[in-house]
Amino acid sequence: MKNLEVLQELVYAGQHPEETIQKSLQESGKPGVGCFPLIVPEELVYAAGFLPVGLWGGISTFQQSNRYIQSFACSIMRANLELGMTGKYDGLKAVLIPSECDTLKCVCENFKVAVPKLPVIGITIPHNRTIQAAHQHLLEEFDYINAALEKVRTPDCKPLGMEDTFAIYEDWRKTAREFTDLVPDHLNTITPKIRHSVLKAAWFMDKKVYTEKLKAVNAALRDLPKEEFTGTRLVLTGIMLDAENVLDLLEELHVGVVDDLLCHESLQFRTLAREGGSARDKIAGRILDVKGVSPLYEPMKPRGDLLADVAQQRGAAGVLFCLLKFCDPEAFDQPLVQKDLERRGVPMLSIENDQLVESVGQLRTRIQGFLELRGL
Amino acid sequence: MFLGIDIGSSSSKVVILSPQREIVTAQVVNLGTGTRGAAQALELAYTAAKLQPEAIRRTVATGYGRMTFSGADKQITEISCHAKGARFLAPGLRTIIDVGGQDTKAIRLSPTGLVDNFVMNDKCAAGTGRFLEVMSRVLGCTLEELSGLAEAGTEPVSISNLCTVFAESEVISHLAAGVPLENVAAGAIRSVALRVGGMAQRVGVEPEVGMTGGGALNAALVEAIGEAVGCPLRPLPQPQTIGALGAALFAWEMGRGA
Repeated sequence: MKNLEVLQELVYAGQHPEETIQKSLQESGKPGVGCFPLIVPEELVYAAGFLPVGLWGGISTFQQSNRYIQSFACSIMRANLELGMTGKYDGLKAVLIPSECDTLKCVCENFKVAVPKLPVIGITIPHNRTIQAAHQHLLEEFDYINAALEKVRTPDCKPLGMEDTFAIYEDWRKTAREFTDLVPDHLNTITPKIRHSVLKAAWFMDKKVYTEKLKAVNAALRDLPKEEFTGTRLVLTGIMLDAENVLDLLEELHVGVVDDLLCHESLQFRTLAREGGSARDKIAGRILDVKGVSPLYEPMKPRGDLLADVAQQRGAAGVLFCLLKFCDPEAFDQPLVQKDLERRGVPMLSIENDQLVESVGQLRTRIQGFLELRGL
Repeated sequence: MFLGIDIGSSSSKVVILSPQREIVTAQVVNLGTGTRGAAQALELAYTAAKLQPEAIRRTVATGYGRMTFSGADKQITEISCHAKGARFLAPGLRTIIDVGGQDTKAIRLSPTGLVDNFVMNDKCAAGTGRFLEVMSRVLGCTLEELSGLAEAGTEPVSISNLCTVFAESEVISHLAAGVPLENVAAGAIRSVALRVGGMAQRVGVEPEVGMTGGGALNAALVEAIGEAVGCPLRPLPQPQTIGALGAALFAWEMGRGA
């Protein structure tokens, strides 16, 4: 089916970041600006005429970055610093780094020293996101980002109005939500690795181009009959689950990912925009409204209940908590989430993972054991 | 006949069960996954049982090397297999502590013997057989001698480092300071016991508690873990082969109608 060829195209794009980014830069004719994890106002970059490129690490061998960041820091940050120092980001015009966790705060400063030729645009995400001042603060941060982007602007930039940009991003978010709604009915076709790759591709492509392709995939999935899936339906949560061999392991153990609360995936498009106000207000509002992102302050910690709701809605057998190695905010959240899920009767398994996992032997026992003890 | 094979990181174990669920033979070879250990354990088992491989109706593989063993009808985790095997030998068990070469697990069972929950070591080799191997090497004794050495210790030293590599340095510092070997050995055993005990508390210790895996051959460790979890551990026969026994019991369940 032709539209499933588009699916393969997106899978390939997600699995080949460097090639996809080069192609996107070439096809769009726009210069690129790197966007660090976790949540950044990517629309500002797009509206300023740049191509936003997601920078979520991707390597596991570090040499130069060890000068600035300890070996027990999050591997995404170590990788980003290493890639910056070794010239892999030289094609970008700037990087946008939010202040969501302590490591990001340090890396924001380290990056300026370690990669001096690449301008760093920091954004301070307000701690208390529920007060009006937080909204005002973000709008002022947006002004600062716009001014900083203006400084690195080139003739190749293709600025677009903020409202038009916001519409492109809303279309992407809506389409991505439709995709994740369709996946649970097609778990044989959309395996964990395929689902992850499709969603990951959004980080490396022009959102408008990506959205059109994803719409084609959605149309193809709608045309397919619902599939009978005999494996185990799980919901993922965490910062990210990107390790190829862990995704392969899930497939080997016949696990279907019916939904996620991963920062790298659905947390980018799950939160609906506020009604009313300008596009800038809505972009700020979404950052203030997003829930379930461990580094963002949430006094009542709703993540466990959110996960239980998602698991019940999707008919999931349990939740896989993908604890990114050395991520303190995630480690603090994990016992609270476990407790809330136990209270709601949703089984949870926590696995420590990294971007590249060398050996999955122990993980196999852990996940298979989790499935066995529930007779799955 | 029904066969269970447990291919661990440092040893391979085989148990053959009769149709009446009697243990025909239980064999251990101290070579783990990726070696000829599994093949040797099978040869020993067939010879001891005076059987040809064709006599086996069903085979279940468990352990770290279970996925690479081609002769199995099914692969089941060592968590389920240790629970199955230990409960078969001691029907009152509610908690199982398995100290293997590479992994340590605490498994909590329901009153009916089903696995309720489990925890595994996930950070490093501390609290596993590998830690004890490293310690015995530093102390200049064999793994088998470590238990007797530790039992002779009167004032166990404190080994505070969780990391095996740093703990090794700590042990060397104690030895350099002239601390008697026995007290250092007792400290090493206590360090493992405290770590394993902490893990068991995470899963929730319910008496009776039994210990399986190669670590259960170390009497000093069994006693120290009993102290750490607050109740003595029930001795189980041939603790190293209990995973293989559980696998054989699963094979029996699969094949009894065949």
